[in-house]
Amino acid sequence: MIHDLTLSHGGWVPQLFPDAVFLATTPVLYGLTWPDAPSRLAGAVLVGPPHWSEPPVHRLALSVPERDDELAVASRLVDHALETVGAARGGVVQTLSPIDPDGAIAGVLEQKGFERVRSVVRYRFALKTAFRVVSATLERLAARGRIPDDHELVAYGDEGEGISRLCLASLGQLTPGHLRAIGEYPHGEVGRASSLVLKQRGETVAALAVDLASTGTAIFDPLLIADGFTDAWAFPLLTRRVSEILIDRGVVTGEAEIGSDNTKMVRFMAAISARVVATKVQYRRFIERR
Amino acid sequence: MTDVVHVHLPDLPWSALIDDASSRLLPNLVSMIEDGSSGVLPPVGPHPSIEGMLMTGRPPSLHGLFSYESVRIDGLGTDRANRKDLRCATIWERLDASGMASASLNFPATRFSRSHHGLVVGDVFFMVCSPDADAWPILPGAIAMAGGDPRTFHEWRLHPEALSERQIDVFFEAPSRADATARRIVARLLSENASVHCLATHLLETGAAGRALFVRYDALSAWNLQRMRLEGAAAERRAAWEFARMLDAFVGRLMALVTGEETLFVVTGGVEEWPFCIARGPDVPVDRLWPDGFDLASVPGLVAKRLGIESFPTRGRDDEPAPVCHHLAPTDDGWSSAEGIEIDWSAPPAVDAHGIAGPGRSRTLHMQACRHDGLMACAEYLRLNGAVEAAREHYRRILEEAPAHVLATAGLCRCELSDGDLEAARACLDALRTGEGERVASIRDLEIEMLVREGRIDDALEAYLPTVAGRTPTVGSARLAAMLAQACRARGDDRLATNLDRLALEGLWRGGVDLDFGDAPTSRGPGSGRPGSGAP
Repeated sequence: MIHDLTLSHGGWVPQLFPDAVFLATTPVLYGLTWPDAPSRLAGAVLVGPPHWSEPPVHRLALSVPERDDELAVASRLVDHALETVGAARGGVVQTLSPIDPDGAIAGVLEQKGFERVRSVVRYRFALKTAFRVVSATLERLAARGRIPDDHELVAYGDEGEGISRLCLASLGQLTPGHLRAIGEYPHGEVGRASSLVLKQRGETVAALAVDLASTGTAIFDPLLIADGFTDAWAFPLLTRRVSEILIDRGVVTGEAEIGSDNTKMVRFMAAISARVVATKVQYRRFIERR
Repeated sequence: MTDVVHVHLPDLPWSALIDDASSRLLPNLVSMIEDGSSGVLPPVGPHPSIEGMLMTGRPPSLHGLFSYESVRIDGLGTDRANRKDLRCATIWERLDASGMASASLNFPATRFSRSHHGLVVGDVFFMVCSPDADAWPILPGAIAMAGGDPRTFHEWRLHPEALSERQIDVFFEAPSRADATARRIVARLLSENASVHCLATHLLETGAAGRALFVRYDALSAWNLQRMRLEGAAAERRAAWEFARMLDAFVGRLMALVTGEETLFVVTGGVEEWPFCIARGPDVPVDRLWPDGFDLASVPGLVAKRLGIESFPTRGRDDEPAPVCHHLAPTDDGWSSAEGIEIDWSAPPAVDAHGIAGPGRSRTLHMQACRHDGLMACAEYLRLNGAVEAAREHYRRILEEAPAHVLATAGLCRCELSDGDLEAARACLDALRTGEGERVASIRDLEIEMLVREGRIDDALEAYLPTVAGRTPTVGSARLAAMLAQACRARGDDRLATNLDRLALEGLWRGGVDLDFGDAPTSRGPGSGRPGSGAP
């Protein structure tokens, strides 16, 4: 039996779906129980409120324990979520966060007509290699006179609001690294020192937020580039300075999530001999409007 | 047949209905006053409190709805108030539990409601949130219905882009000079309220409303009609009064659709300080004022009585334990069956790889401000109703978390003044003067009240009189005028006291607040012309 648990068990959402913090308003929580164990939750699905776009996008997330009935539970919950979105005049149903494409839930989503729209690959790389490669690039650009003098690097936290707009415009949501860098969540000293904004003639042209994971690895947020800014020097300049700061503080490894459609960054990762440590996929399905 | 129609018109001032000039614009509402019972009711505080009382028949301290915005159920931010923010059962839930079908349209805090026999369409269903009609989805939880397909409901909504320029132009005296923002506001209010009316008339015409229809039109929420006298020259005057006329026409249409003499037709509304109720139908005396003791909490009781539910609880003592909504839901309801569900597993930790857990700093601050708003509204209600000690506790709870909270400090100061603890009141005033309190106009009123309490009447008059010279008295200044009048009369200055009483009456007339005039008789409502007209 499917239960609407939004009112009665909405307090479970942060525990079951930590990424619900990225939703702007209240999501709906449905839970499934089997008749032979009516008080035991077999699985839960979260349906986010529609994002006002054309077509409206509803975010979906599943939380199902690894048991024998995992596939059946996920299947029933996805059906119910699709029915809910259908009742809300349809639109796009998209996973709240990218998920493991080899997992059981991904299999269920594909079975229900969801398509892979975007893969996000997590790369791990040596910071010294990254520093060396971007330094060489900068030297080449400098030799051709392609690096202007009228730029400056400033602390990320000082530019919060403007960068938030840039982040939203570029990525559609405020990323974890960005939220930490602007002080919304605790940010370590290393992260604060290495998160930088590049300005040219007082205008923000690029920003890079970095956080230090508990493992000692530097987690790089996606690079934010101002709309219409196409010059090639911003990325290597920012990356070199950030890498330099991290290396000076004893950090040796970095990680970054790159969309598979971002061919430029994929090529850069190959150039710095980064290795793939995980791949996650965003799924979506269109529900026709009646 | 629909036995009851209850229309709620927040922000329509009672003065508009009894003023000779403006009442001509509102013929349907005036005819209701003539055909039934009517009058202003005791104030309970800001609007969600009024609506909570109308929905539940319980005072704000029990129903708990103090703000249109509340902390999300998942605690990860704030959102529009939902069903969980209302701690008592609504009148339509009571009817539902009795097996009666009814329909509720556009009331706040109804998202995620349940209905076994009727229909609940919450305010979030009608709110225009999308710039594009095609991208205007139905928010999950916005509609609760016994059966059928909620997908068809979108057909009853009218998006602003479907309005023609001419439909918006009529709201402006000089349409070509109206700025884009004003036009957008008018278009939004027009489409939202027209959507509510489309669905309301459809339900009445087809008999789908069941035994009772509850409908709320909030078109006047953006305008301060109270201050926009007809003869005034405010830029938005035309728009505000056109909306008032439109609402009157809506009421007229609903009245026309209710053909039976046996239908109880109730209209409530008013500004915060001065809610009102008009009712006509069986067992409602014609052309009468409400009897003493009739208040907002009595309205759902009136409805329940018409529907044969004698046991409907209204009011309730403030120390009564607050009922929780899902306890009141029918036993076969999903909430009840969901209550016992337990979880024995946790989410995979991988999703939290970035260490982002719980709401961030800004959201936490916003949630805190939201909680403070609720506590503040509750405290004001308690203070105005004489529960000074309970109000003081609420103010202190706010000040514990936010020591510089201006309104809480001012509220605490009023508590101390009413208790006669001048030292404590002085400390609050000092805190207000040194902090952001300078920005609060009421600090002047507090200082004058302090002078009166200290017996420095001449100083108080010197501070007070320049603030009202040549100006329209407000509710706050009326209170002070009444207090100063009493003080002047006590020291034998009857002439000044009489003039101050006149000032108080003028403020009272504009604002509609009951004042204590000692032995002087007071009365309210259309029968007596002006409230408090029995005063000297």
